[in-house]
Amino acid sequence: MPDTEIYDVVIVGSGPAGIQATINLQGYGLKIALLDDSSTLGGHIYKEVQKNSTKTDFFEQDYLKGFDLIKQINLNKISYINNSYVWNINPKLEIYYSQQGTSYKIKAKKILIATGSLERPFPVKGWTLPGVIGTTAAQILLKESLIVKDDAVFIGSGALFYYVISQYLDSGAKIKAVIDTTPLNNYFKAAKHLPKALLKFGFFIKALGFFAKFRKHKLKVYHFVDELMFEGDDELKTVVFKKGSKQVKIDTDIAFIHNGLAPNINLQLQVGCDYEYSKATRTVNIKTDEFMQSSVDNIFVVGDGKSIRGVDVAIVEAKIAANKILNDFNKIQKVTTYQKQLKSHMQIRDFLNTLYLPHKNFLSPSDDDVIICRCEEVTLKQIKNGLERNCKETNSIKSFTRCGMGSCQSRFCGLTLLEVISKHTNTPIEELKYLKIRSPIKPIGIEEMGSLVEYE
Amino acid sequence: MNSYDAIVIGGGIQGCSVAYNLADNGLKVLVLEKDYCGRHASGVNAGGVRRLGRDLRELELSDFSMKEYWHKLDSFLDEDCEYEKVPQIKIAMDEEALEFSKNRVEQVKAMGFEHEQLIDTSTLKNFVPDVSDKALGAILVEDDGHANPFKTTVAIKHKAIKYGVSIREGEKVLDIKGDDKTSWKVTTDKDVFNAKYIINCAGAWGDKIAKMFGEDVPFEAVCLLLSITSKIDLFLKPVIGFQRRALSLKQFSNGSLMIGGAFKGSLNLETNETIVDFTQIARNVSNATELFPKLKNAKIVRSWGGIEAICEDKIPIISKSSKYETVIHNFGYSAHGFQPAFGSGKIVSQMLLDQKLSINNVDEFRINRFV
Amino acid sequence: MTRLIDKGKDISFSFNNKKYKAKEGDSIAAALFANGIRTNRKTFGKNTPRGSFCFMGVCFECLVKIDGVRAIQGCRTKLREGMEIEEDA
Repeated sequence: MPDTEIYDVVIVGSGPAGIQATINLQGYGLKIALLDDSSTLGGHIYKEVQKNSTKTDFFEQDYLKGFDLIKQINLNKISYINNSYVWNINPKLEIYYSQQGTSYKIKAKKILIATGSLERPFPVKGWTLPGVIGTTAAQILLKESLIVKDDAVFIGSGALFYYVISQYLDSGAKIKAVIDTTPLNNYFKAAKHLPKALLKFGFFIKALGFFAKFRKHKLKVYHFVDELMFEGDDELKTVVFKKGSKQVKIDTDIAFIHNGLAPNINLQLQVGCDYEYSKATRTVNIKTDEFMQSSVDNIFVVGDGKSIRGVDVAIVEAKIAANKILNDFNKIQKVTTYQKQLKSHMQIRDFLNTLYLPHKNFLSPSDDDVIICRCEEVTLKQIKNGLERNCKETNSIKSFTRCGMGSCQSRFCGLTLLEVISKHTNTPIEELKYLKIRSPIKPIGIEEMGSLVEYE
Repeated sequence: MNSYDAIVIGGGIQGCSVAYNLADNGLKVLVLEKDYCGRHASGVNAGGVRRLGRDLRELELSDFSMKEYWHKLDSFLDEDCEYEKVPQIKIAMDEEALEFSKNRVEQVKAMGFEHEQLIDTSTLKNFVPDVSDKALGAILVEDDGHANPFKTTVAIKHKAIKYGVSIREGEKVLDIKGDDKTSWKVTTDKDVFNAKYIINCAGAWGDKIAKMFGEDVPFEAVCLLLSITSKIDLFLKPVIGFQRRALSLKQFSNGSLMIGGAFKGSLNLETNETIVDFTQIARNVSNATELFPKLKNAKIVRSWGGIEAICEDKIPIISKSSKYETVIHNFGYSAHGFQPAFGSGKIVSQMLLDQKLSINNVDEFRINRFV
Repeated sequence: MTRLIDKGKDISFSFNNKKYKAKEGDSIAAALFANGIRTNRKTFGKNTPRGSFCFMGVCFECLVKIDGVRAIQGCRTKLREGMEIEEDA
């Protein structure tokens, strides 16, 4: 039987938050493991930044500064376990992860989860057609493989959306059109948060820079689009949308879509961390105290994996959690909560949350044929049928329709399902339970699973 | 307003089935369910519609449920339960298991039941072409089957509603007061109700309800682990179990398989939380791949623990209370209550209304055996 | 599809028995994307075509079949020389 390796701290996720936590924890004699399913440090935002650090022609400073962060990690002082996917954590702080086709079990005294974000579902007709792709994917292809696609159509809204478009333009790629789904109304609603947001002056300078860039490249932008669908027999052929009362059709083989970000919470939920629904962002967020401690003893959750607030907040939260952990191990006496830094970075959030809240048509579709659950091919009609059959609890709808039961385990349907149930049963969405998440949170080969008997 | 003839505690397949039968007899019935109907064992069990290998004491009940309900399911329920009539097979992998199987089939035949038959390896291969060459024989029941347990529970729930049953979900019983002469007063976390009869169908929480009537039942709630695989090409039509080995296997028509056994996780009954022990899942799935090498290409998509209540002697309690004529206990099915549920609903209703019972052997199920 | 820098080592592979080239370091999903291949699997139930969606390991749309083994995540698996990839169907 192999010994189950015991660590003082296990950090899940090597994005900015995971990296910052590691930096702050290293050097105190603690036994630390940093796990991530990528082969390199940086998460999605700083993906492959070490490799790309000299390519200043294509990449701008916000991305390249990730390199300075990563340089501070001393990989001799910690166990960096890359290419490893953590698929189960239990309240006894046992951790199971898969690395190159083998699964391992380790134990921790403290766990810090920094799993970042994923794309919010964008449930419109035809969104499962091959060729319809997440906008973050465009960014990943660019950073990881230096691949860009000319003449793609970008559809969506959100800070990241414009950021990726800007990166695409910087790289020299041609963009066929941008279909902006930010509702006009959001601009008026967001205005009241503007004064506080303006304190984050740098943000607005950057934003103005983006829009100047879009004009310079004579980008074709359609604003305030609130109805759209994708057409094609087997693969994407046409994007169809309404511009005012006029229907517009654009032929394209690739559409990059983005409906905002949501916390990547499956690992946190399967271990039983308490969560809450945020009406401001319309996402399910993980609850923590001011020291980033979740409801499960000794499990900390920080950054976008808790709720979406971006890289600056993630880094501060990682510092707070690291500080508390060091204090718990009696390595430092004073606990800092970095309130001032946190507050400064949060100034912009209300503004962004209000401005980029998706249009209701893109949160909860009205066309019966729209696929809600991609994995199990469950349509809105089937969900409505379940609701009519008197299954009104989220998990009973799951049992009844298979919505959320497939390989992705509700990552791309969970939020939509809440919206649909809320709308059709007139239940306040924050009162609904989220889907019960089971382990493994990613499918694990049977032989690989079987080899864990060694740890029995 | 809140007065009923009968209150059924627990909205699982048992509770809904009892409620339907009582309503069919003209009673005004309320079902109280603390979560939602089918949330626990009824909705997440392996869905086996099985007489094969039943404890001999509950064989008559199981056979009654099968012939009267499952084999006529289309006329009994209005909704699709994904019920499939397929063989259930229990394979013997060693001489001892084969000997055990032979005796078992004879015992069943001696009781007058013909459904179980002993088959040799070549017949087994006809049913399960991929079975390991080490198999020595098996017991076969050709007309057993499986169903979607949640959809089945929903279907019987709707049948009950159609017959006038009221169902209140998300409402937990906190207290019961009364006796045979006055009516029973049931207090939940939301309301108070009155009824002449109480039927305890509270599954893994049945002992807590029994305690409210001063009856102690030796009873253990356990967390039984199950796993679902990714979809692979269809290769297994029957439901497979193994004699004296902890493994069961079933493939759904969508290609995924359910792997079970008697492996346990840990359980917190207060919070309903279960912890899956993946070294146990590992043991479970490696037993499965040893016998079906084809499974090696499949993946485990999710594993979970279902909460089941096991009685000390592994058969349910289906009887009037030892203290009150107006209270019936119907729980403790010890992880095999899904298939008998339709039959039990009928029997419980007959017991309550002092009608002639459809089966003869019910004495074994009396609560008196414990209290 | 454009490569910003076309310097890396070429890798040959096949998809559904047709030969293609990509670059060392590409994931299978990126290699397919770079070659304009949008469909990499068909759903088990309704046999509808699907293609990679998230490229970050969470949507399970990029599944392919390699050496007869199904459900391999294309975006999490690096391309290797001579790999014979098929649609997961």
